[in-house]
Amino acid sequence: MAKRLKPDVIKRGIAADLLALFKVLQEDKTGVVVNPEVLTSAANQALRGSKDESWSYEVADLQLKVDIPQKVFPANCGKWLNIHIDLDLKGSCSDKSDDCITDLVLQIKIETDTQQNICSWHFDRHIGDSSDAPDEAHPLYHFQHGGHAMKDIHGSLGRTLLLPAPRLAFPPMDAILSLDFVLSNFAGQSWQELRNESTYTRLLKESQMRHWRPYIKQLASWWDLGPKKDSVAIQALWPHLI
Amino acid sequence: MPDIKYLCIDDQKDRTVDDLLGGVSNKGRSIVFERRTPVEIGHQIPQIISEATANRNAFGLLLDLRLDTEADSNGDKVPYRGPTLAQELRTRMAEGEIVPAFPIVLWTIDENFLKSFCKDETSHDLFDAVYVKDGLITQQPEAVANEMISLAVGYRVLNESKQKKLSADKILGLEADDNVGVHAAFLDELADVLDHRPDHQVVQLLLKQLIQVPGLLVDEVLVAARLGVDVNACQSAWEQLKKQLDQAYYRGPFHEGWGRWWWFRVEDWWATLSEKQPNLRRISAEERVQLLNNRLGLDLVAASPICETYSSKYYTLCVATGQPLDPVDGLRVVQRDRKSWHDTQYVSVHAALNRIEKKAWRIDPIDRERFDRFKEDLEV
Repeated sequence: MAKRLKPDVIKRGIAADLLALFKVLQEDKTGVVVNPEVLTSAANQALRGSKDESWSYEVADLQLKVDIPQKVFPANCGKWLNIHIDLDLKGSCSDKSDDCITDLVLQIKIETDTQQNICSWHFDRHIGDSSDAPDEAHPLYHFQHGGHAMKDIHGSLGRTLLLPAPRLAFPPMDAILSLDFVLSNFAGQSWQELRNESTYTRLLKESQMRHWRPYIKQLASWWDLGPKKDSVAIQALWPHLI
Repeated sequence: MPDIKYLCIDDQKDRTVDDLLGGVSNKGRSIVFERRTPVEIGHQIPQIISEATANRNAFGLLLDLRLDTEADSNGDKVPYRGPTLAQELRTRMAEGEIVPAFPIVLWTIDENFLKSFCKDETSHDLFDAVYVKDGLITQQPEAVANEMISLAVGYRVLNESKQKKLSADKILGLEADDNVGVHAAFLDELADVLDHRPDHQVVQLLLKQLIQVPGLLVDEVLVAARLGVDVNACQSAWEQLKKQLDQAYYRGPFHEGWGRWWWFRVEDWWATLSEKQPNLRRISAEERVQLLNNRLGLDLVAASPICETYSSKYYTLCVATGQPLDPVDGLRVVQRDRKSWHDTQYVSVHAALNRIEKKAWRIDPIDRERFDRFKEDLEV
């Protein structure tokens, strides 16, 4: 069994990864991320309370500028998109389960350069337990179209209907996984170039190993032979499993 | 502590130089000047060394850029200029012939001379500060005095720190625990320069890569912008707020001349203001100021953006106007010799389109296409 790391060591590791990502983005020739310094503040935050059993950081308003894709409605709504990533992440240093994340809220706000049109996606770790579970599916980690940013423009939605559902299950994401997700969807060229960068891929691999591997392994264990060890926890991740 | 003595070598013989020096060393300031005209270099160097030795650890040299324009009373002119003399002195400092090292400051009569100096970058590292006689020296003699005193004090502090073998974090007034995160890269470079380079290069690193470039340290204007405050509209409330920020104040070498705050400590302070304190970057200047006023009972006033339509989630200053700016309304500018601990710098789109202070900035190639699109919009 792996030796349990002390909280300050865990926090230093998280801060070091955030700073490594900052450096990659600072040197990135595509310049897709406009204000990578946000990550230095996140690293500083991760280091606070070195002996506490929980760690946390915020990626506050990381800004990306990307070309406007084709087939956008309304047509001719702008020349490029400003994307704002806001992530609040909290985790436990002592948690014995594979999922060390205790709180996660990710807001992805996409606006045209004129700021006239806004789209927003919300991704979070569901708060609450099975006792107050609603009838609808609420995967533990889920995406929703909409979110707080859309509240500001609720009076100018035209004929668009904004609904809380569906809530789409997706594995947990930290800073680099969130950024990679956004790049992969909105800035293909920068995404490909960063994936050729060794530090970026190293950070990505480590984060996927830390956060995606346990998630996916737990899901896959649904089909293991024999009695299920923790069917409630697995169904919390993916309520559709039966 | 004795007054700091600066030996001023200038070929100009009229009273203007005395008047300028008098303005800087005005009553109450612990700086005195002795004025000399340049002599042949073989005599000039021992003369300087002798003055430096007599005023050990409280000495500086103020050199005119052009020492070769006016003849002395015998009709003789020296054939060398300020940078030549400075280079010779720096070499001797590096070789250990001049110990301890002392600050060398350049001044010049006007911007034109300064421009010719600026083209020759090899000379830039020789001087700890450069002033224009009819510029800052005339306009803000007190600020110049503070900087020149601070330079001499800073050299002394560094010299003593090296004697005591203090670590890089101690010299900067940081705790050993701070040697992580955003500071690690700078501390590593400082430690290396302390071990392997002459004192004046340590000074260059501190002044030009830490103190004078926003990043780890930020000046008062940038702190105010990030806290959303319009200082001119609420001077007294701002002074009260600054007292709260005392724990974040930089107390390393040269802090007397250049007031700076450790940004990471300002962030730490902000986070302690309430249990669920929102992240500074996520809220507008109005919200930041409201939070501060409510929490601390102040009457701070929020700063207005450069243009009415701009965001007030300020985090930087427009390099052209010096006004608060959210990077979303800016274009990145070229930063030569940028270090990893330096913040990205931006020019507001407004200033770029109106070519404000155009000589001070150049749009980074990664944002030029975007700038062209803004220009197209104007042409339509």
